[in-house]
Amino acid sequence: MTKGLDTAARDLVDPQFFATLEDLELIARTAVEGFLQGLHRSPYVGFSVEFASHREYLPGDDLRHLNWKLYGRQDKLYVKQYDAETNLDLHLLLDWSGSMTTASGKVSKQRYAQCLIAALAHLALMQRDAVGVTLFADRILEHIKPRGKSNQLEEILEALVSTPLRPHAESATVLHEVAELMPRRGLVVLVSDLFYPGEELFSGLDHFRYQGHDILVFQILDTLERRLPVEGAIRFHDLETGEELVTRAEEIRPAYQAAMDRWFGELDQECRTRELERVTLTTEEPLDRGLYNYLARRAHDY
Amino acid sequence: MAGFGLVHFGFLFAAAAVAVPILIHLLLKPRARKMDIGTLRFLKLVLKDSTRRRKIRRWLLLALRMAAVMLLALLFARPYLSRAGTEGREREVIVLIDQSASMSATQGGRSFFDRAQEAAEKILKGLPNETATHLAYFDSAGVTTPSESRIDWRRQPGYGGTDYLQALRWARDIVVNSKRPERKVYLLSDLQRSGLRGSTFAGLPADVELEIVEIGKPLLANLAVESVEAVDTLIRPKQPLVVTASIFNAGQFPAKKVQVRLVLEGDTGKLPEQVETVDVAPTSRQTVRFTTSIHKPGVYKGHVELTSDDEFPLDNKRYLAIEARTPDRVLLVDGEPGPSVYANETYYLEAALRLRLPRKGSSLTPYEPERLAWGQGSTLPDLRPFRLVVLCNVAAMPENEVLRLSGYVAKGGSLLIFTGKQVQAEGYEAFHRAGLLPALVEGQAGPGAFRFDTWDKGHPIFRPFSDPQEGDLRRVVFQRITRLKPNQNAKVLAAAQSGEALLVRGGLQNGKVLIFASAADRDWSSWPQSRLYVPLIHQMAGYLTERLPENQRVQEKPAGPGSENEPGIVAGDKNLVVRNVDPGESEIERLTEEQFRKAYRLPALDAAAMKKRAVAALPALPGTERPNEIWTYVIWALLLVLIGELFIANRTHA
Repeated sequence: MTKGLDTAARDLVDPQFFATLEDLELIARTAVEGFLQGLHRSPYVGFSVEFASHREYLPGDDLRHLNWKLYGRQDKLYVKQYDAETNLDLHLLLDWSGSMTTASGKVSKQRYAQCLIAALAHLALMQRDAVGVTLFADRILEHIKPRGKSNQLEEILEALVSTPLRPHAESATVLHEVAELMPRRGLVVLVSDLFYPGEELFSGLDHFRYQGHDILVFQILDTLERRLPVEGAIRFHDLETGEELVTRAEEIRPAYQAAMDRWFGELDQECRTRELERVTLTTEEPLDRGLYNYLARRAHDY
Repeated sequence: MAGFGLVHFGFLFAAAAVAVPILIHLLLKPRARKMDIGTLRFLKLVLKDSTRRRKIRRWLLLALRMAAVMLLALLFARPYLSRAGTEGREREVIVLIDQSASMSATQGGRSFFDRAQEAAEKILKGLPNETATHLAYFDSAGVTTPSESRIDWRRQPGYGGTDYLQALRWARDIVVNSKRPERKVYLLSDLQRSGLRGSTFAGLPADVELEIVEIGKPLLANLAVESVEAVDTLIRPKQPLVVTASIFNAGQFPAKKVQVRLVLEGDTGKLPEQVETVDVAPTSRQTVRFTTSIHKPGVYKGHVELTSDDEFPLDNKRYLAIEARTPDRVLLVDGEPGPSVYANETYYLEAALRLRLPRKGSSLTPYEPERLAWGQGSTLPDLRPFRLVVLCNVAAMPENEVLRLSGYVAKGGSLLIFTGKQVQAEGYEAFHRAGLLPALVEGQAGPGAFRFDTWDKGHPIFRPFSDPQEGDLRRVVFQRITRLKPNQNAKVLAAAQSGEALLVRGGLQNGKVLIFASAADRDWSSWPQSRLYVPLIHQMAGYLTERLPENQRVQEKPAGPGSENEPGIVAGDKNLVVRNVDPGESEIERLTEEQFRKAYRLPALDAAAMKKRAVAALPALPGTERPNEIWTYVIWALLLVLIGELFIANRTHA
């Protein structure tokens, strides 16, 4: 796709993979202020406004947008729709800790996340949005500021393949540091397995919310972590702490899955409180299908 | 609840290998695959919750593994059900050993009794410790129990007869009172048919099992001196005493030229031995007659024996003792002589004494009565030759005659007094003063109907009348009687329904005195014409002359019980006791178990029980399976345990 990318980076932007995303628009939940016009609607009325179409009035619509002339001719209420195409700062935050190397199947969580980040970056750049990437573990490992320049994708992909992982990341306090690096309001996409203490994680996310960012969380889990679909005696090795534990997977599977469900429930509760979106993707799920489903739902919402 | 035994007890030591499979299991524990995971946070959470469950599983796993090893060891030890309750607390066992004389028969150098003892020992040793056991030896004399229900190895087979009934009744009493649910009776015997005595056994309770253990094999032949007796013990001129012996051939083959020997010894020395030869047909008896050379009174002791030997030698010899006596002279003092012989006061009495009683085939009466008509001025003859003096309705006697009479009694003579209408108180004052009378004569009573109402049934005089079939004394009615007031030391042997004494016994020094309250003739009753007159007169005369079996000098008693009182002749203080083996023991015919059970109303054995018993009787050879082995159940239990172990082991880690 782009000259200078090595083979590993090219794999991340496989045309066949992105073909399924060509007809989708990444519609941010929150319009941000930008200095580049794009497809995104601005929350600020009267700024770079273009009339798009009419639609029938629905209760709750702003009365200022009613087309009274049309009402006089057709005796029906219509509201005017304006498309404000603005530039969006897309902040892609990628968990680059040891736990992301989990790979019970062919694809590790790290690889899966790389693909997802590349896809999102490519999509955003096609829409002339500014895209930035931050790789973090127990500290910030790489940070690329959001830009809309032509080689931005190349730079991002290069960072994804060249930055070494940090094995330990037991705390999410680093998110506060990341938030400090993003003074401009935009869309923050966090890609992580979220294996952090709940309070620290949501404290970090609150920091982003405080700065006015809209937040989207992709939780990437390995199939093993999600459902424990193995049999027999297993020596489980914690990729971050190095700790090991031997047990019969089938013996504890129901209780494990119940514990996971409880955890998801707690995360959802916290997300709902903060009006966050959280999407869980497992590595056995095709990446394209996961993104398609997610983006389709976002498109429907907006 | 049933207990069990082990064919190979030693294999239980293999249970010590309980550690081996556990070690093997630990060594062969499947190695866990290593898998990377993002966090152990949730696994730890889960495992923390199930720690208690896993601990229980691990203990259960250990228990199952140990159980598997124990079951394996038990399998090799070959357990079998012994029908014993849990440690025997539910069981009560009675072992009855026949100790009759026939058990002394020997086969293969060992007596039946020894074999029975060994069999009983085996039974007792096979019982669990808590079993309530009762060991008893039985014969016709009853049941004897050793201390602590242990085999008495010093005990010898007895000399008595066989009586299964007493033993079964004894066992029944125990099992009926027992509260233990499992009760069993073992009967160890040669099952001699002669042991069947009566069939009034009520049977054992339905849930009580009787196991009959037949000891030895039936004897093929047995010769026995079944009985020995003197035809008569009265010595008469030119009439030697004759001794007869009954020789019994219990076998199925004829016995030819059987030599029978008589050995006798008198006060003056040994008499010449006599040997007779006789042929005895199968299952028949042959009487051998020995004419002795006894011509003088005295006691002669000896035996009759067979010169040949057999498997049961105890009955080949039989002891006898003879008290040879001359007839007793009896002086009948007639107090009221009549105009004719028939009217004499002593007519019926004399006739009764001259009659021979059908006993021992004797053709002679042991009494020689002599009548003396008593009147004014009469005197008694020399009383020394007389064994008994009888006064019949004597009104009175001069003082000196009374004194002679009392002197006679004091020296051992006997006096019998019949009253009558002439007997008044005044006339007997002299007798009273001389101490001859056991009762004071008070006068007459009647007319009325005086019957025998009560009498001393244990006294030798009245023993034959204990059974009314032999003669009912109550049918004797007296119109009048003499009212007697018994002395303090006297004993009323019979009384009328009004309480009046009818027969009173007394004595003076060595002599005995009887006074009868009525007349010996028909003046006061028709008793002399009844069938009870002669027997009662003979009983009274026999008692006073010591000719009744009870007071004869020679007493015959059975040998036993057990091995006590062995056959032979033992001299006591006054008597000579002759003991012999029960003649029924010479019978060699045996009962089958079926016949035995039928005779005593015991449930018959079904085919299954008989087969089971037959197999149980077989020695437990290596490789031979017992029918009650439970190894199949052990295998199933082992399989279940192993499956359970596998199931839990696959689910118990970390």
